[in-house]
Amino acid sequence: MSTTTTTTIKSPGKLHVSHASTSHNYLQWLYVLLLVYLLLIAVGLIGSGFKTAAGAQAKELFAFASNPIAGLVIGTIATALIQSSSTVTSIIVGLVAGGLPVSIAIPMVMGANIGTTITNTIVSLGHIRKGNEFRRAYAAATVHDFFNILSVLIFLPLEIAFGFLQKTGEYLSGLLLGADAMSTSGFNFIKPLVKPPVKFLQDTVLGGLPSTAAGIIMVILGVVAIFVVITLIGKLLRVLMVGTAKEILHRSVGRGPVSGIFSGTLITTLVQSSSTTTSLIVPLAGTGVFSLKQVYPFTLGANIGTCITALLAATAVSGPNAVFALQIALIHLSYNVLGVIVIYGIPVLRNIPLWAANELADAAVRNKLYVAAYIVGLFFIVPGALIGGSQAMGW
Amino acid sequence: MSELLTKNRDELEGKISDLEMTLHDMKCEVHEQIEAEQHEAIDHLEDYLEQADHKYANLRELLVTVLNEIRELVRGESDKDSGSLKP
Repeated sequence: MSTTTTTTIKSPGKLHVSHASTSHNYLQWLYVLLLVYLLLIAVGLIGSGFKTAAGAQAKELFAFASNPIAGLVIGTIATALIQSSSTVTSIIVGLVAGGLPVSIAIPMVMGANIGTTITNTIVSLGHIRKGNEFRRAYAAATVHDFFNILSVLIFLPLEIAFGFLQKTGEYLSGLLLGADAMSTSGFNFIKPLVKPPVKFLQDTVLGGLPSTAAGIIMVILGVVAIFVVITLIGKLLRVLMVGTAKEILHRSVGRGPVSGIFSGTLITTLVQSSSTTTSLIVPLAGTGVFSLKQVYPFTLGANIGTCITALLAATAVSGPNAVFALQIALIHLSYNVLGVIVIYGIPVLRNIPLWAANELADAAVRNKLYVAAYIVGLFFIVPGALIGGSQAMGW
Repeated sequence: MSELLTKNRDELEGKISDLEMTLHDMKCEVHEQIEAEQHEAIDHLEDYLEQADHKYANLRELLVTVLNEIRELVRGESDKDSGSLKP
């Protein structure tokens, strides 16, 4: 009896706490939805702003990036500085919507893959004073770098020679949209929601300004908004999805690499950030509980999962360039999926990033100058040298 | 004599078989322990998420470490030079 009374007294409080945390979660999910909506508006702002500012000269504006090395470097440095491939690829989708040719955007997307790896490399530095723990963490971080570099070394020359990624994007977007582009598109319910705020800003708020100025302001607003929104979405989803991420990881323990790839993809899709997933892998590997071979597939899954953001961004685009925005998002996905299939699928290629990461980690433990040289070299000096070299060769 | 040899061989083969089974059991046990440790590590995922937020501190740490190593390198070089000047 007294137990029942105690239970009755305790349970209303527990129920109250449980209801409070459930409604708090609902609020946070609403907040996420609102942020996604803002992301789509931001992409629309960039597209419309660029079209307004550049008009028919959009292709000429980006002529400097028609050199694929320049495009690759722009993608790498921009992503290394912003530390978010989702932000950069969403901006690229917006620019394509504004008239940036898809062929120029493809190397930028490849560069974004490389630039984003700086984040987990920096996370690994948290173990720098811990000997073997640092070696393991640093190897887990740089295996991602080496995989993405190898992917570029294989696929960029093929793309320059054959344009196969662009053709793949065209084919897939054709499949999704059909011959009669937007009118039969399943994305129609999104565009009517996104277009009004963009038009309001363009026609009402900035209507009094010259079109070039208005367009530039819209692009800047869109870029800043994308950065802020993706950062906030990432922080929110990390908290909301950590439980689900744990369940996914628990289920993948003891299973093979394919399960690891799927788990990495799923977690990254849920938290909308490849940097979060790969940054989780680093300390897990640092403890020694997960080997480099075990975390490697998770890293590859993160490459695939991060493509969802660009696909989401593409749904915001309307007008004649919408199909190109969808193409570049599908190209991003195809490139990452193909990279995993080809490089991970072929044992000789699969082992190259592992070998390189281990060698670099061994050197880094002996002398930390290698670490500094690697970060500054890979993300800034080499890209700069490549740009200079390609300009000097008249590309 | 041949019976004795056969008996010895049978005993040896029996021991080998026992050893192989024991080895297999031990490997399974190690495998289970590793998986248990992995599950334990996953349960502390929030701690690892927090580590991802200390990027600037990590970069400062790298800078300090690199500067120390450069100082030691320079000190090592100057010790070598001053050593080479001694008669």
